[in-house]
Amino acid sequence: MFDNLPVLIVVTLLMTAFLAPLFIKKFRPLVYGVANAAVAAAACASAVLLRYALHTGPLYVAVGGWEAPWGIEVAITPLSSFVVLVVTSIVALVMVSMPREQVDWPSQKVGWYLTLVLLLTAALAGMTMANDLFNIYVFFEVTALSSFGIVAAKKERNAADAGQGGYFEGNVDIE
Amino acid sequence: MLAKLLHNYPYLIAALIFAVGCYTVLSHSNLMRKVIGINVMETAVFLFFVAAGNVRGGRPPIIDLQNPDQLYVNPLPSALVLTGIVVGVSVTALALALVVRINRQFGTIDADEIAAIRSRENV
Amino acid sequence: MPDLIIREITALLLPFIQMYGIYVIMHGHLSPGGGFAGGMIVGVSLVLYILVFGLDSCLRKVPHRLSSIVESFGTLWYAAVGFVGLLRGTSFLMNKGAGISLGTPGKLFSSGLIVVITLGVGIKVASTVLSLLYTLIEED
Repeated sequence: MFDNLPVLIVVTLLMTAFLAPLFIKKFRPLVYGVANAAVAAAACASAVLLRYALHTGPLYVAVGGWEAPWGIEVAITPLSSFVVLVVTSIVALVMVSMPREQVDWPSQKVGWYLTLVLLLTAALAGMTMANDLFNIYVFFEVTALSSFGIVAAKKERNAADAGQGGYFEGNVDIE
Repeated sequence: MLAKLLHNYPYLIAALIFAVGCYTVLSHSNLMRKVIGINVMETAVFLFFVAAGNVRGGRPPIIDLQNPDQLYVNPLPSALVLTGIVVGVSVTALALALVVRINRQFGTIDADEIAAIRSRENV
Repeated sequence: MPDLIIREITALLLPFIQMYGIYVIMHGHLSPGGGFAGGMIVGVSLVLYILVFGLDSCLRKVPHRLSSIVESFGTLWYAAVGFVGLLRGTSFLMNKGAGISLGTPGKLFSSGLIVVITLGVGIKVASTVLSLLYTLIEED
């Protein structure tokens, strides 16, 4: 059962990301609290994984029972769990000050903005823990897409242009 | 050496399509044509990947119960390319949303005119 | 006159396009296609409806809020099907090891949870295509 913890980090963040726009209209402070709790729980889970990797050694989980190369693999080493811990802690600290800045935003926009932030965190955590090149590519694309969405969400005129520039240059580099 | 190159003709065609897409992105100043060029480049990459998993003389990888010794094409690159196509579609959707937003704010989708407007504003 | 022809032929063709899309979704484990391709076919049929009959008539049938709700619901469906394996004691997203009967290969209801996941993916993709078009076309 402990083998499922790396996958559960990514899946919990993903589920919370898509629950946010459904409940945002009536329970706005509650949605902020649940998103914060999800990222904090991901940070605690990665701390548990870091302790396990430091004491017992690296852990390689085959997701869904399919061995590599037919299935995807997750590697928990001291380095990867440490990076996941740092990333989720920073996002949890940043999300504390979000409600005060977004006081005058309409509820629909706040809902999809929270989706993008939680998707970014899930993709960064998944990219660090993945052990095969294909999953690194998929999570990298999710990171790129959600970060472009976050940048373009502000109302200033330069925001859309920055997003456009990043899209074209980033795509020429990747392809 | 040329015979070996022509024996692997799918890779050659994929490189050609990639070159066509790259030229489209670099030579037009209209933003919509750049998005189309990027889509053509992605198609070339997917063609390269799927052709790498091809087995000459193999059938599509759907199991045939009457003939257990059938030679099948490798299905793994096709599954990976399916996810790649999904990623490509969502990236295209994001690019088109950005183009619509740029059109609303600048009034044009020509990259040279947008640069001129922005340089006039910043001065 | 061309308006009338396009309108009549689209009204005749749309149910068959959607039926074909649902067929591709449901036979994802038996023939090429699956969740993403079938979902795109159904979504593109709705886009055709918008192009021929106008945005308002499609907004009356499928409101913007409904397509956003279905879009979030599709992802939650996928994650919930993954949790079935976890609840039965084995790992996440487990199909055969969780004790789900695989059936006979070649029939429609074989291969366990793959049909359920494919259905969720198809619904999500169709509603996402429609939501994206609404976001692009609607002027605030």
